[in-house]
Amino acid sequence: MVTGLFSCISGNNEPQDLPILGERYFDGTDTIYHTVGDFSFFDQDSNTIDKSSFHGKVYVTDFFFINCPTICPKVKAQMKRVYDHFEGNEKLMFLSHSIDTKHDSIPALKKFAEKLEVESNRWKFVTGDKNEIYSIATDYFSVAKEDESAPGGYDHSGRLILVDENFMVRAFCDGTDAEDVDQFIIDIERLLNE
Amino acid sequence: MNKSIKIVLFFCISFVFIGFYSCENNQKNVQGKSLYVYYCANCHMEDGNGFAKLYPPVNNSDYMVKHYTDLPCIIRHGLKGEIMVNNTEFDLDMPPIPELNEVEITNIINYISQAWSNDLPGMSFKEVQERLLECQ
Repeated sequence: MVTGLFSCISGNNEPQDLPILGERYFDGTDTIYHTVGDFSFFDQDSNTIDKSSFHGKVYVTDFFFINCPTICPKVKAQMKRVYDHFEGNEKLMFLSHSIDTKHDSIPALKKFAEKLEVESNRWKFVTGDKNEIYSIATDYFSVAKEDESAPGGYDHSGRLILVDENFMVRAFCDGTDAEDVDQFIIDIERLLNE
Repeated sequence: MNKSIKIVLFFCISFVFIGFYSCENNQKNVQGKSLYVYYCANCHMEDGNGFAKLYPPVNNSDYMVKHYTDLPCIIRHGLKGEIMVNNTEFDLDMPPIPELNEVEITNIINYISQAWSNDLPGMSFKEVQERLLECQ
C-alpha cells in the first residue's frame, strides 16, 4: 500500500507515460494489449526487415509511394524533420512502407533514400508482398489500399505512427500538419524517457 | 459638421480603404496563389524551395529562369527525365495537371514569377495560349 501511495504521489509530479492505443482484453491474469503482427519485408539494401530488426528500438512508421502526387512529399518533409530532430539517437528508427509495390523497386527505394539524405541504418524503406503491406497498415491504425479513382492510384493515410519496443502503438499524428507533428515530437521524447 | 455628413464621410473613407486593399490582393495574385498551394505546394512546398534532392525549388531556380517559356507546357503536361536545378540533379517525374485551364495556368505562372525571392517578368494570357499550342 505504501508503494502504491508512493507511485500515486510520484505519478502526480512526473509526466505520465504515453497511452497504449487499441483494443485490450483481460485474459484472467494480465491485460493483453494490441500489438503489431509479424511482418517480413525487404529494405533499400535488400536486407530482410522483420520484428527482430527493431529489437530494443522505438520506431516511427508511415505508408507512402514514390510517385505520389498528393500528400506524400509533405508527410516525408515532416518525417524528415522528426528524423533530423532526433539525429544521433540510436534508440529511434524510421520505417517507411511503399504501397506501390509495382513501381517502387528496391533500387528505386535506395535512390529515394539517398536523395532524401538519410542513413539506411536509421531509416528503412521497405517493399514486399502487397497484401502483407496493406494488412500491416491496419495493425498500425493506418490505411493503405489500391484505388483507381485516387490520385496516383492509391488511397492512403498521411499518418505518422509511433511504435514502442513491444510493438505497441503509442501515438500518431497527421503528417501533413506541422503543429500536430510538433506534438508528436514531444510524444516521442516522452516515450524515449519512459 | 452634422452627424449625417460624418457618417457619409466615414463610409467614403472606408470604401477608399477597401478599394486599396482589393488592389493589393490583386497584385498578390490570389487565384494563382491558391492554385499553387493546391496543385504545386505538395512537392515544391509553400515557400517554393522544394524538398531535399527529391523535389526541385521553384524559388531562386536557375532551371525555371532558363526554361521560363516552357512553364505552360510543363504545368499542363508534367516533366519526365533528369533535370539539373541549381547544380542538383532531380529525376522524379512531375505529373501532368490536365484539369487546369489557360487562365489558371497563367495565374500560377504570374504568382510564382513574383513570389518569394523571384522577380520574373510574368506572362500574358495570350502568350500562355500560344505556348500551349506548341507543346511537344
